[in-house]
Amino acid sequence: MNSVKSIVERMDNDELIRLARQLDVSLTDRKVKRNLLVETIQGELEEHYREGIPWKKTRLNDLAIQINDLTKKFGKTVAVRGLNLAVRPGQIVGLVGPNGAGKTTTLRILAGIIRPTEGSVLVNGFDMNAHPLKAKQRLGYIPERPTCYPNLKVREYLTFIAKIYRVPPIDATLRMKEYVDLFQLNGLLDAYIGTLSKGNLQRTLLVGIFVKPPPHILALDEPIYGLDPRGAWSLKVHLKKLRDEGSAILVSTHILEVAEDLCDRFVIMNEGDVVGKGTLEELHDQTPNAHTIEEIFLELTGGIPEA
Amino acid sequence: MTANTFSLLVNEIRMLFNHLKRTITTPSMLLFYTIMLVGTYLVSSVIAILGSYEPLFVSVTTVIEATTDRGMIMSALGLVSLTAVVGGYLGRGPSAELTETDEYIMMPVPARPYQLFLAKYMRRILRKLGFAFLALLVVLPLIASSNLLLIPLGSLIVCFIIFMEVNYFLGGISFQIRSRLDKRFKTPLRHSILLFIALAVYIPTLPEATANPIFSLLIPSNAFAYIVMEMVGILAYGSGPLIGVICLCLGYPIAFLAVANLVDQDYYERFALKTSNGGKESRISRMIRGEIDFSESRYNDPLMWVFLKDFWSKMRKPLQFWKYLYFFIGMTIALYLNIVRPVWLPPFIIPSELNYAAVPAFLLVLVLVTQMASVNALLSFVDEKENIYLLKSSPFKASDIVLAKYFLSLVEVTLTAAPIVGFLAYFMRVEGSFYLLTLVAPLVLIFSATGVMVGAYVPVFTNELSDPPVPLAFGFPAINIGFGVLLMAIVAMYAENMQLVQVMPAFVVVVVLGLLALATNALRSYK
Repeated sequence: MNSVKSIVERMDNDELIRLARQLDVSLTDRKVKRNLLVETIQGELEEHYREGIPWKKTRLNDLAIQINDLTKKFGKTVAVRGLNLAVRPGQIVGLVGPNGAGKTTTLRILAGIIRPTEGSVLVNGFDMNAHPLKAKQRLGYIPERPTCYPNLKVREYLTFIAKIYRVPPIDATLRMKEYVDLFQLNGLLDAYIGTLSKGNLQRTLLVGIFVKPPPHILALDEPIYGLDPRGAWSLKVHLKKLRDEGSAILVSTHILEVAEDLCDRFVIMNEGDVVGKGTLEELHDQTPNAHTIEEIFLELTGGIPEA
Repeated sequence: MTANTFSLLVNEIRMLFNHLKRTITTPSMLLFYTIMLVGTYLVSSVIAILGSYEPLFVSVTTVIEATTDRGMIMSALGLVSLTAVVGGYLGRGPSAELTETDEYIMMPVPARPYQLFLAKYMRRILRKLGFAFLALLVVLPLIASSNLLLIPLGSLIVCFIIFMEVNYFLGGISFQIRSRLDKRFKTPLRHSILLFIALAVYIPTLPEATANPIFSLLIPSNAFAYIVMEMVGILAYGSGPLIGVICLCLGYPIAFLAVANLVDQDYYERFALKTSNGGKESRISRMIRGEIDFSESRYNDPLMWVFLKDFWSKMRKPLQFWKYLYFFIGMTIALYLNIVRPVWLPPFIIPSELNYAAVPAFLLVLVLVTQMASVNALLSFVDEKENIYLLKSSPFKASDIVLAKYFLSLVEVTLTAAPIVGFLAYFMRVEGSFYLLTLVAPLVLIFSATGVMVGAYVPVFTNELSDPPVPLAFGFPAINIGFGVLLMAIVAMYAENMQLVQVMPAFVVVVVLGLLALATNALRSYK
């Protein structure tokens, strides 16, 4: 509850009035003192969340992401071959591999954009093919190349996402404020998305994901793309926090430092095949000649080039 | 828990509204819009002054009534539906409306495919109505000069839009039929269903099937043909267009709901394959492109290099093959018609007393045909998308890049325009049409330069490089029609004077060089 109170304290006047309206706080006076309004809203929120913050009670299925014998072919090209992968709540799994390894295809199948040629994908216990809507309910996806509707303002996009996922308006307002602050989008809420830089676009997409209440099942394709060091650091810290709170995260990247810093387990892919799997220690055992994650990666994906 | 369809619809409308708001609050965009609207209006007024088209319409009515019958008109419009069905089956159907942003934002959210389809469709139809309204507005002088009534004409345009939308849905239905067959059967024989679908759409439009007018109106293309005949007064039954309008308007929601019900995951899949490895090229495209590596070219001139890069890049698109095929078949037929002059396909002979209206009308058609063909020139820069910055940062002179784009555009525009001009030469004979046809050359030269210039300005106006802003896209035909009218005026002014052979080339050279200089300037001013 304290975190909710501090979010309210950070809100500007317009945001406070919007939240007050959502909470049905009476605003009959022409002028109202900010401190008084903050206190009133905090009191109302305490009442609103009397039985606890609802999303804190939600738990994910024990196998949040379950990919079984996944094969995807485009014509005669095999993009992914026989992939098996499981991500449990409280885990960050890194999908690592060179360009064209099949990472993005795997994430697109996981997000329900394309269907597998063979095999199945279960998200939160629901088959993506048979029950796509239930499977997508907890899923957050960041594409490899961030893109969004250029003619929407950042605030409109975030509100739209909240409506799509049916996040209650009060929760949406509070969460939006929390993550807009975290990813430093405050000055850009009324900017058109088409005018944003790549980094700010990536931040907007990330806030769009976090507007939904946790626990999350995240499929992130190069999430650090375009972020400055501060943004990248905030994201990594937040992803670890989410993991500790019970979210399940699958991160695709070929920035090995990010993978090493963030992930508990790794799946290394090369030309559609899984060539290595496990924790960093287990991968070390598989490749005794390799000393660093970079060397492990090179060893498993075609050998370390001679200097 | 699924997303609310209403939220999706509101979002699409909001994006349209924001787009409009951004346009009218950006001075450069607003200026371009104003030029486009006022310019087209003025051009439309000038064309209207050049000739009163009412007698021409009367003459055309007589010719059409003498050479054709109702059944033939219905069959001809039936071909439009047939093409839509075949196109939908072979193409991407409604998924062609989706964008990369939809893939990343909307496809992973818990919304059903039909909800996204409804939202996208709402946006499509609103945009179409907006464009139709603008088009009607700027051709008001022409309408007035033809003594056409605005409300019936507006109704006819709305009926035309409905008819084309029904065809779009028919294409969507055949797309879904193919998707379902592809899931169940692997044998190539499954595609024989296309023949049955095509026959099912086309047979009801044949004269034998349209003998009973009331029954035949249940078919949308027949209903639209009926509306056109009743409204225009050619081969009219005399019972008014209302029954046709009712039938067409009944067909529209039926076809719409049918597609909305059929739309499933394949709607996403077909679009997503476009951006997937191996899904990009058709077999026929791979066959015709061979293994040519144009970087091995012996030409070292940057202009030639950009030219070859564009040529082979285009060749790797399936459409390009069909364009060349169209050129060869189209030219063969056009040459056959003009040389053999078959008696079974007579041209429209316009009486000489109507020449005062027929000649401007002929020139107008010439300008419009060349304008349509010159869209290729506009795309020469637009097709580069983000690569335009790579090109710009390469060690080439901006003028070389512009010239390379211009020369390839000339080839492309000529390929597209030549067969149509050949048909025009045969079918629309007015006094001096042979000489007037030579105007195609300066028109192609100028319009290609305009296209290159407007395309070069896209990155100056927007970050969405693959999607030219509406005022630019609309400004392109407006500028071209303006130049076309200017060219006509020069021809009219010097018609009896040998100075024309000096004035005309000088005018063309000055305009083309001016436009290419503007394009070079645009390339230099990218942010």
